[in-house]
Amino acid sequence: MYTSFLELCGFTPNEIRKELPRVKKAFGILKIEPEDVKLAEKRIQEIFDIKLEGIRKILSIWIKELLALVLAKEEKKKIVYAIMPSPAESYTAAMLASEDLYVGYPDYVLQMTMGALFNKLDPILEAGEKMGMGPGGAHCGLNKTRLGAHALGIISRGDLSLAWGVACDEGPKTDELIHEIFGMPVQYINRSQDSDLKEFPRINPRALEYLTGEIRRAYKRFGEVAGVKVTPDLVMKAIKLRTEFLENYNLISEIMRTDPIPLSQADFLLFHMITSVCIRDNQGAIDAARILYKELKQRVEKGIGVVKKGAPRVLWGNHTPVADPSITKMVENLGLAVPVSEIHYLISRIPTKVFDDPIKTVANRFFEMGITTSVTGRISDIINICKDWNLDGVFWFNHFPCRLIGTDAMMIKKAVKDQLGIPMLILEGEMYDTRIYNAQQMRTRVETFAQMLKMTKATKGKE
Amino acid sequence: MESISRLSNHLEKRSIELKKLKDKGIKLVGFSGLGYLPEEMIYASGSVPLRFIRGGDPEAVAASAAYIPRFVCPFARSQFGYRVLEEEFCYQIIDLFACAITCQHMRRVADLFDLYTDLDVFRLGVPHGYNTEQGLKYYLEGLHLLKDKLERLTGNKIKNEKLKNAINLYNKMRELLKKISLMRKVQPPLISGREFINLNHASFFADPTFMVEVLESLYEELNKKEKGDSDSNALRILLTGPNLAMGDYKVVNLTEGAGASIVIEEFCGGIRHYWDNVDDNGDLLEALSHRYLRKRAPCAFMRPSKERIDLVVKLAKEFEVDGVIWYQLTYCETYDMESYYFAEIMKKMDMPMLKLESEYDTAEIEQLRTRIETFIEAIKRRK
Repeated sequence: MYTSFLELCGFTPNEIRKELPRVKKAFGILKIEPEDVKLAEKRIQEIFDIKLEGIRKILSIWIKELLALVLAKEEKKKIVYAIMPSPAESYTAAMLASEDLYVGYPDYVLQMTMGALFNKLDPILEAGEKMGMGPGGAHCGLNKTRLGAHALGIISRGDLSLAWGVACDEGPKTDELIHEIFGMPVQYINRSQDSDLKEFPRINPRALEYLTGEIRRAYKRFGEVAGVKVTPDLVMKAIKLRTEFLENYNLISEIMRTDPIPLSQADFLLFHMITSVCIRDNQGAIDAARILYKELKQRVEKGIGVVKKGAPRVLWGNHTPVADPSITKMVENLGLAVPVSEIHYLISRIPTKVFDDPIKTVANRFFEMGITTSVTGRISDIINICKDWNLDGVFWFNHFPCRLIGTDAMMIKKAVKDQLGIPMLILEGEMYDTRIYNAQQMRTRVETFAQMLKMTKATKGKE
Repeated sequence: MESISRLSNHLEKRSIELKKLKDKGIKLVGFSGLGYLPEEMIYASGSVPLRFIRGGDPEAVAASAAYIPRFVCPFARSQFGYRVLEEEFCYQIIDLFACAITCQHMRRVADLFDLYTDLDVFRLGVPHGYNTEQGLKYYLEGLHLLKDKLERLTGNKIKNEKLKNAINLYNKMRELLKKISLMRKVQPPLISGREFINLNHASFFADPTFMVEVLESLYEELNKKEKGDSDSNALRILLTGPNLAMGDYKVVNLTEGAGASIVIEEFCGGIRHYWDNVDDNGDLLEALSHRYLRKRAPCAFMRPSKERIDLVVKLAKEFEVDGVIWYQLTYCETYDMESYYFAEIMKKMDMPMLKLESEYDTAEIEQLRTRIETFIEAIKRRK
């Protein structure tokens, strides 16, 4: 049972032999029954392009992350949790400090595995809802996942949470709640979101200095708890590791410019999310990206695409849903090519400015993204992407419970219309929760939007 | 009470007075309503501070709908809505909007004013690490930037003496509000919750010197007031939550209408915080930063914010309340989450608590009435 599942997820026979006992143990904690594994196999084959070895390999990375997360306590690791949105290299540096540590993003790992692969998120979300993030309060599914996982005992109480409160208020508040209920110590990393609208792309030195200091303060607390230090060398090493992955990831990203596009965003998401988290098997992820790139090159040479050649091309505003990739598939099946998704395109940019102090480099990179700086910064990035990728429209999947990325859609729509004259569809949704929003419900509006874009494109072609 | 009548007369004419001041070249500065921006600085610059604290009207929320999604708190949405409606004097007449960036919601208010109006917008960064040296330093730097901005706007230097006078004036106002508020400790309270909240709200619109005079005379009047029956059974309620806006009186009215008294309130925004004053010695901007960032109770978006919960617990004990009403606004994510463990604390204290939520919709009122009346009945029975 587990063997066929692990094979499907790109595990080698050696890896299966080695990991099987851990898989059994972890799946026991997660209450993943044999029936669930069967259903997951079916779901994976339906949603993901598992003919591609690169996709299977990256699936194995996610499963390994799930094992590391769930078994961290049992494997006698000190546990330090990370939260989003944050630059992953800041945590990777901490992870590299010792092999006796587990450092990771529990919510993202659970979303990618229990959500996207097993479709078993609901009990976790419901557990979060019972503990202070009630339904109807517009709370983010990602944070509910973290809280719910603690409530259900799926993940162990952390020795520390390094809670980035740099772009989101609810994330650190969730950790405060976890602290109040379960006693997990929390170290907050703060910033003020007071960027002037005329500022971007210039980075405010005050803000940069403040955030750099906050990361340094967090590392100090980390040292006290973990008993190991995050040195500048480790931060530098983390930046290099991430850069190496991004160089390979960006080759895939660039190949998405071809018409027809060779890969669905539902598949690409498996790689996108690696850019946002810290993982144990960095080399494995780099290898997976290399393999996928080669496979996609072959597709391009043969003219194979996931959407018809000449299909209208849209920017996916925010990023594609994590818990329910079928929404992404629905959009593509309606004939819209999605070569680029906003947030992950921006996250995957390699830092342009490198300081002698690597911590400052990490902080600076965060401010290089308009989305984390100001609404005008975000607009500027979106306009540039649309121009650079020669896009026909914007499909805005508005992650409604996020006060950072879900409250400026109308401002962006106006700018897109005024500056580019292309249409933008705003569709309310939840990236991390499948219970309220689903592909069937959204289909009619997307269909109409797709028709309009096709018509406009056809008319332009005639002109 | 005579003082209250004088205040009403003053407020009635205040808009005309402000228009005259504007015509004379005096600048009017609107500033955000969560109490993180020192109005003493605006006053010391020779301009008139007008705090944006209106709320409670469904029309203002609706007016914002074309600009911002509904998942922003109704108070924040209303702030731009009032500007769109063109019915609120303060929201139209100002020369500068100074917005303390306290939470994601207020951040968007600043964005809306910046993108959709021709108003000059100043953002004051409010670090959520309010109890760290770094946070305090960042906030203080922000106050220096605010000072520069106000000096450029008015052409007046904010000299130390002027600032000290302004601080003393507002310290006096806070002191008097505190003294009057404490008069609610007795049973029955010498002033009702609604009356005190009105007074508090008026202090943002009235001329501050006049306001201090009124508060002084009111304090005297209340002192002379005949004490009521101390055996009175009227229930004593503590009201708390994120925002008690000027105009958002339904919970207050329903509670007091049902025979209970709101004897104390603790809110992040909408009302003036009067427990602590500004030290008028040493570096005055530093003193302001201490008072406004660190000394006041941290709102739920601050990290950690437990200190405020501790304050509410302390107030509940000191004011000998019979129950607590937690009144929150929809989509205020941090307060909603905090209400979970606050309720646990209340449970441990054996303190009855009612959690209410509003989106400034008139349709809510009957539901709120039923819940409040039932809550009060339940406490009465238990007593």
